Amino acid sequence: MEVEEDWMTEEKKEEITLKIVRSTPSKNIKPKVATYTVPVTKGMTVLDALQYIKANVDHSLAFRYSCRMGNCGSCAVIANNKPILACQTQIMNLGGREIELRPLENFPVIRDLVTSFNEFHSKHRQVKPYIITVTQNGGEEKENEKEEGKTAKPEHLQSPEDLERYIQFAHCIKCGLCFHACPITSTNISFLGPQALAQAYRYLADNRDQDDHLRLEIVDTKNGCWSCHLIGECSYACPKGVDPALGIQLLRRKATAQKLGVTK
Amino acid sequence: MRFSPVMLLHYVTAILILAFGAVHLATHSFLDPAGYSGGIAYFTVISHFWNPLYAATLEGILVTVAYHGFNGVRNILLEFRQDRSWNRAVTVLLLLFGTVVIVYGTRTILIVSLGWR
Repeated sequence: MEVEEDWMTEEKKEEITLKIVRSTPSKNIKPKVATYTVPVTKGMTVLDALQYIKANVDHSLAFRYSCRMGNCGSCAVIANNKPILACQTQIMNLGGREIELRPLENFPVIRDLVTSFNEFHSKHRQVKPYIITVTQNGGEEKENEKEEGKTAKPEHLQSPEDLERYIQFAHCIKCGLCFHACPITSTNISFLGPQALAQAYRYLADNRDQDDHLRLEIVDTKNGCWSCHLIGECSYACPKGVDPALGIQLLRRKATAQKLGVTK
Repeated sequence: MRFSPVMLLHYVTAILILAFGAVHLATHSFLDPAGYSGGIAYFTVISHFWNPLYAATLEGILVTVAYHGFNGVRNILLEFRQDRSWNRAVTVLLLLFGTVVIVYGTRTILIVSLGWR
């Protein structure tokens, strides 16, 4: 109700039409466009407009969001053919009085604007997105799985230069916009995708990570870093300024250099 | 299987194609004492084959172009489908084609350079 009151007191300057592609594949409801008119206020984001519709016009509209500040990556949608975070995009900046909203491509639709991230997360998990330290018996050990009570290991020192090598890739919020934008992902279902590959590089470039084989075994494959055509749509789509295309090229360099024995 | 050696060889052959290609074109144009039009005359071309270094350059072009070309086609074909049997069929078929091209090309170079005809 509080949301409704806010909207009632805001000065209504103009209206905008939202055309939202809605479907529910599990119930065999095919995609159709639902049209909503929303009063626009200064600074209104796409997510605000969706919340307005949900609160005042159509309670059945499904969309996903959480933090509302561009940190969680939940609200990624396609607006006027542009991949955006709904919470970070002001509706007037999209241009025009009509805005078409669609769910992300390369993700199975669950309902309306909500898509399934199962495959996306599974590919992310495949590249072991965590710091691996090597135990005394040679096995791998996740940083957060160390047994308590053991002698404390020396801390992992990291210089600003070491940090610089991977920090931009650590800004990934797993919103899936790069995965949506990648044409290879839509034609090759086995391709790991820009997000997972950039994260693989993020951990390989981290000097605290002691794994020099496991992760490269996974990404140095036809459907790993070598399937990328360097189209660069992933880097263009990323709302956090990450450059996954660069990460993939650096992965290739790392894999080749390791094979030639010129680096670790 | 790690894919980087395959692609490393792909890049190396690309550079070699440029190097061999430059030698090949230079031999037939400004390096030829007979000049450009004389250099591409039939009997001048044949006489180049008698030089073992030139024959080796041609063999180099043949092998590098065959590897680079067939590996490129393989990469494209593998993106059409992602199952293991397709992967194997494409690899075996292109390996076979590549071998035939190299064997036939080598045969031609040998016939001309050693005068086997």
